Amino acid sequence: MHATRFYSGTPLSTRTRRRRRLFQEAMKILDSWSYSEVEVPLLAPYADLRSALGEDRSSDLFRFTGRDGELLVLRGDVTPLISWQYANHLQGRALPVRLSYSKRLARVQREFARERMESYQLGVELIGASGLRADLEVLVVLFDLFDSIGLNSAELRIGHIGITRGVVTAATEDLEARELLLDAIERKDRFEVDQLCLDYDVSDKSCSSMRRLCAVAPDFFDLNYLGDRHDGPVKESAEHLLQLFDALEALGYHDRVQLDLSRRDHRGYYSGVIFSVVSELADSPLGGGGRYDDLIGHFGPELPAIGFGLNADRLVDLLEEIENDTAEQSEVASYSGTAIEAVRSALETRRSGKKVRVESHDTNR
Amino acid sequence: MDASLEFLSQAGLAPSGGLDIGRRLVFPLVEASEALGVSIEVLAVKNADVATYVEHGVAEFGVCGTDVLNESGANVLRPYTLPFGRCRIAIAGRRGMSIEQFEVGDTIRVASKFPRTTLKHFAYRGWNPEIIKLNGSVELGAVLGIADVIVDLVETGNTLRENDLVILEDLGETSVKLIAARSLARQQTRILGELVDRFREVDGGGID
Repeated sequence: MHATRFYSGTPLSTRTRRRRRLFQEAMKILDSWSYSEVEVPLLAPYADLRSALGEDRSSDLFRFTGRDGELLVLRGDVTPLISWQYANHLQGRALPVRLSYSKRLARVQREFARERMESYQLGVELIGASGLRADLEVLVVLFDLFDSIGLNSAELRIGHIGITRGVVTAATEDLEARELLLDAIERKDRFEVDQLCLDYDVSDKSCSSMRRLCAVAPDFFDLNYLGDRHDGPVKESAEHLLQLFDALEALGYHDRVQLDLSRRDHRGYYSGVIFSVVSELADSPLGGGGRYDDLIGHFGPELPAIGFGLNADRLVDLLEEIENDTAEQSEVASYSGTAIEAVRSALETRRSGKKVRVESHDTNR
Repeated sequence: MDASLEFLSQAGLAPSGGLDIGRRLVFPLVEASEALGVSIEVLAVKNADVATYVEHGVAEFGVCGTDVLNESGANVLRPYTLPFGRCRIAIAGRRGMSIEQFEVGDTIRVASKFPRTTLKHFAYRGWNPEIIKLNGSVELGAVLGIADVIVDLVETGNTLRENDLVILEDLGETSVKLIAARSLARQQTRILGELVDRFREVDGGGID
């Protein structure tokens, strides 16, 4: 009589195991900073999220009709979903609320010349806290997370939406010109900014400020320049960034942060500090985040918040590369002999934390 | 490539062994490496591939024209515009044609090396383009009637004139850019900053 075997699938790949381990380690570290892991909904009513996402930004998310005809959106951008979840289900908790997550997402993501549909992300959201202390906490948690998982090459490029947006808004009232200027600034294309200034009759003062935003490596002189030449949000944002950099320097992170005044907000909800995580060892950003004080107000009470999200797939790639480059191959102790001898020896070695493999040439002894 | 190497040379970043690189595809910049404190190599790749190499992190920096850059859709920084290689990009057609003959909603057959740029402009004008991708001698597309018009680079206009074609609409200027990956770490940012400073010194604060 023949036994029929059913295979439900291939074993989990090394990559999947690494990602699971990364998620576990990351959640443990975030828990030690008092960030509680939260279940992010897989589906949410699109009608609720529409005002926060906007039609343009919704285009990379998957939407479909539910059984009762309601339009639903699939988990693709965690921050609006957690904001919606907070307003609907988590209100009443003592503020600030610290949340963490590690989830699989489905959205169209352009990565080089191809598009990806699914990705894994982990991150935190600090809800109900504003000012220097909250911004600093999130950035330091991020550094601690990277250092703890062995990626101490991670650096932050930090900017402030209030500066970029404020300077461009003051430059022209023409909405099309603003978009073109923000694009050119984001590319650090000073030449194009000059051309646009001529085309749209932008003042010399505004043009000079936008040239500063394009600087390859802007410094505190550029921040002071912008703060001195502008009032309101630009001045306040420049002062805030100066304080933040002072604080990061005092904590010993000065050689892991750089100013980037050219960033624009592609998500449509960032309102303050904005940052991306980079590494010399990686060919694309490992993640990013920022302050989004106006987002939760779309769903409930207005509350300040800041958070970050990391691309787990890229982290796994990088960890794999580092491991292959630097770590000695983990030793696999193999044992033969009788079944009992082999398994007993393997068990003893396993108790010391090492990886083992029981040889199976002679299965009957 | 020659103009870029000549410009690098003026900026004190000449290739070792002189400007004649022969058929080498990878060569070191010893002088530049010493000046900037890091090992620098030049990869000689096709203009259209530069942005791909930079965006994928194979090369940190690159030099290429905005014609192919815009076409590639690469998400890279463009921190410096080099003072050479500028030309116009235009819609051209047979003598006697006029851009006014096309109305919103018209389907127009266009031959071009730049389908993305063409599509963007034609959509902006409300025309419906049927794009025929050609890789060289685009003028022939209009001469032989495979297309109503062409979208191509125009330097002096001589090739158009000699083939009895005229510019119907100027779409703007293309230029040559120093490009860089978007996710630069501190050390890479420092080198890019130094490169841009050296280039601006050579340029004398000219166009950028």
